[in-house]
Amino acid sequence: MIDRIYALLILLLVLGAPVGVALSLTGDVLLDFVFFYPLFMSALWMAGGSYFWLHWERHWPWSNSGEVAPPALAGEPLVSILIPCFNEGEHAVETIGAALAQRYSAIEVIAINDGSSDNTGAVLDQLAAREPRLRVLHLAQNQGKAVALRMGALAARSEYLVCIDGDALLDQDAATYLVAPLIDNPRVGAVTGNPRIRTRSTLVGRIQVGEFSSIIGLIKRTQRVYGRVFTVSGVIAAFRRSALDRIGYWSEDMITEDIDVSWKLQLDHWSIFYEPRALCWILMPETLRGLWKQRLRWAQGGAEVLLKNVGSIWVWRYRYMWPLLIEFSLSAIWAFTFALSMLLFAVGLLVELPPQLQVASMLPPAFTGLVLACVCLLQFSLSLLIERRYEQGLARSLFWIIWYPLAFWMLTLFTTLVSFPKVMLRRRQQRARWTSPDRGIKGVNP
Amino acid sequence: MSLLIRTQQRLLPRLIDIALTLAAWLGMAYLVLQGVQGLLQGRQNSPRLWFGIEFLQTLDTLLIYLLVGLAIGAVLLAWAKYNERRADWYQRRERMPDICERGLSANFQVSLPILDCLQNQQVLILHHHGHGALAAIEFPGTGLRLPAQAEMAISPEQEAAESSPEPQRPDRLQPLPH
Repeated sequence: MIDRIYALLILLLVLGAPVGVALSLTGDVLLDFVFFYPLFMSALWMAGGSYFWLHWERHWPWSNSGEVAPPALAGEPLVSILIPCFNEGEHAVETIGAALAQRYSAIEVIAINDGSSDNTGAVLDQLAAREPRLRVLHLAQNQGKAVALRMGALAARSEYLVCIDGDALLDQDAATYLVAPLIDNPRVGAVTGNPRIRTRSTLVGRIQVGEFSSIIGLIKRTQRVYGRVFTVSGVIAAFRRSALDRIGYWSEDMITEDIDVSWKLQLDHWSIFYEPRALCWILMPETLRGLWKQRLRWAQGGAEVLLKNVGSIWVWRYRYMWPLLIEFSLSAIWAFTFALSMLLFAVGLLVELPPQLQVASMLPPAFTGLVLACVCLLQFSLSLLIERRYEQGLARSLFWIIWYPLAFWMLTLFTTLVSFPKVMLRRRQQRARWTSPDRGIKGVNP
Repeated sequence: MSLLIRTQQRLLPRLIDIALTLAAWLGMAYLVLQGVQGLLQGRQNSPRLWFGIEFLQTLDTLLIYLLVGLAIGAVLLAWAKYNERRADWYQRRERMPDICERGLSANFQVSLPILDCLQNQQVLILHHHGHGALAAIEFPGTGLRLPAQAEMAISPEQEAAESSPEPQRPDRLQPLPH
């Protein structure tokens, strides 16, 4: 019952704050927030990215060709690589091949076939017959990614769990880079890696290359500098099993188990590190429909975590998580403010509105447009400077990167508008199940 | 194996992508030009940050953008530096012991012999309760299914035979001595 009250209060806040501001001040103030919030967030990310790079990252040795050896793992512990698979028959051979090809030899790979309806089970069995380091757990019925990961954690023989998706390709040293901070720092409960996009056939795919480099990479670095991370990447992250055990592992009822587990770990005072050298090559949607479905799920996951924690987080010992929650809430308020500005602008074209509610134009005002454009270019350049060593030819994606501000902020806008009411009005209690994602387009028939 | 996937598209969609992207660059150029024109025409038309404080409106808008941006960055960097200093005297958490088999067994509600099977068999089928807890494990090709709480296990002699590619037979499984 208390959950329902919180949900209603959150919805009233994100819906009511923009309306209240418009009524008590002016429509121009709304528009100022719409344009300045992304601008100042960009300043924050650039500051965080620059600090992370200057203070730590530039001192870390790295070679794309593998000439630089990763750090030696003290005690050479066994590392368990967990790969939950749902209908991954097409990708399982590549994914497991890349996992087994780690240069660090003390590994075991555990593939968890989560009740797939395709040939995943047969493919995994064939692989297991050839490769003793591969173990396979077939879940008789589809249980969802959280349960699959829990079973992997239970079956693992190692304290260090590297978790990747069933269609992701680990770089040859990724497991070592992920596990080294767990061994060196007893307070670290998880390490998140650096996902790189493989699918670059359509405009949607290419925009995400820029987005992952220019914004997600900078956000992760900034959050690491701050000391708390909103979420590990579900596609590539390593965990300390004893930390997971304290927090009850992955939750079965959260649509994005990665955001939830990140919050649970940090609320239990475990740190999460970001390791940009832990590369993992991933498939992403290449159609608008696929991208929409994926981002809506992410937004829903964020809203679920907000709802889950908003009532219990306001105690002093959780103070470091407050900025993350506030930033997420501000993003949601920004989305509703933008929507209200558009609504006022559209209504203003049809009927005369009171002066304080008038929004004259949806174009960024003169100076703001100039500053937005300059800040975008600055952010592109900075991210390119930082990320280019992980991927040769990244500069070529600069042509397409122009779409990133529009794509990122518009996606944030619309997914928030849809997901927030959905989550707040209908609290899901049932098990989160897999949805088959869009993994890029197929070739055209000749 | 190529890491990057660039599926060849038809010419028309490719041309549309390029045209749209060029248009976006032109849009950005327009924003820049509009801003420069605004600067040249004087500040009377320029919008300002509204903080509800009159004197701020007299400050140059670009300067305020810059100052706020720098202030945000400075706060983050000051916080990072503070955390570095704090790390010198902060009592760090001791390394926790790795989770032991008994702990895993208790938390997942599986018996130790079943946990042993889970951690040592190469291929297993797992059955779950409706709420997601492990209900039973099954040895592929044998039809043998053991409840998650079963006090049954493979004897040491039979463990040695596990490396055999043949599936485990039901009669190899023995009850654990109490």
